[in-house]
Amino acid sequence: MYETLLFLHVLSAFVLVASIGLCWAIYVGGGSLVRLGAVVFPVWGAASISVLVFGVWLAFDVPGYQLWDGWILAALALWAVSGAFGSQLSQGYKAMTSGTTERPALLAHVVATAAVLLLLIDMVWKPGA
Amino acid sequence: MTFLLIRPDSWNVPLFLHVAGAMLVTASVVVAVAALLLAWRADGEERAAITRFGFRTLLIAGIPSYFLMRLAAEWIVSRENISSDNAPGWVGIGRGTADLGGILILIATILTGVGMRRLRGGGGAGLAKTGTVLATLVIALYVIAIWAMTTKPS
Repeated sequence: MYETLLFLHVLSAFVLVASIGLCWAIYVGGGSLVRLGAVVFPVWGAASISVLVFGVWLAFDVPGYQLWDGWILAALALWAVSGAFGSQLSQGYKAMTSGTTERPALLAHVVATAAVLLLLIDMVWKPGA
Repeated sequence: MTFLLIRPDSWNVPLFLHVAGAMLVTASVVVAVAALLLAWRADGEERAAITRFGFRTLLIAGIPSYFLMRLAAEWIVSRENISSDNAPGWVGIGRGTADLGGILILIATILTGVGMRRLRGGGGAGLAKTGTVLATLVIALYVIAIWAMTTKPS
């Protein structure tokens, strides 16, 4: 059970990172690549939920891990930050596709990426575990 | 599962670099494939521009992050004192998928690059499409690698 949960958790994390990569591609590539947004943001959302579900499930499954451990709470906070900025980017690119706005701010991309990078650091070092 | 809890701190840096490299190489290949697939449906200058973007993604992001992932993999294996003579199955699967994936990324980059140049003269679409297919195979290989690294079959 543990191995299956870990596989699904890590696979979801890889899909999440690939979605962020695609988001950067739309930002850098602009014009023609904005069509990717129709696929990227639903996938980002699904991967984000999936990372959370399997991560919380792992926290319950592994003896010694508690949902209220500092590193898990930090992960939940970082997940929320990446989700919030992902949602902002999704709305921004949707508006850009309809021609109403410019591309979303660089800062939103940087914050979403930094949150996921910090999540990975948190998952590897597990401070306080 | 107890193994994870007692992992020595000295493994953290190589493990982080390995996983970060793996995420970056996978994301780079996914971006390249997505761009190249879009290029299939585009025409003229737009097609050439999107193909160029896919090629540059493989060249500038895919190949360097592949080396980061692969070198950090050997670093973490050396930290874990796994001898190459008696390596467990999951290490073999990881090495096999990573090495085959690396070769495919290299070939896909070359084919896409040559295809991109020929697109200016009206040809090269077939080469770029072959590069797309090879890059897609890399994604499938890396899903197998993720499975092997997380479930660690003996």
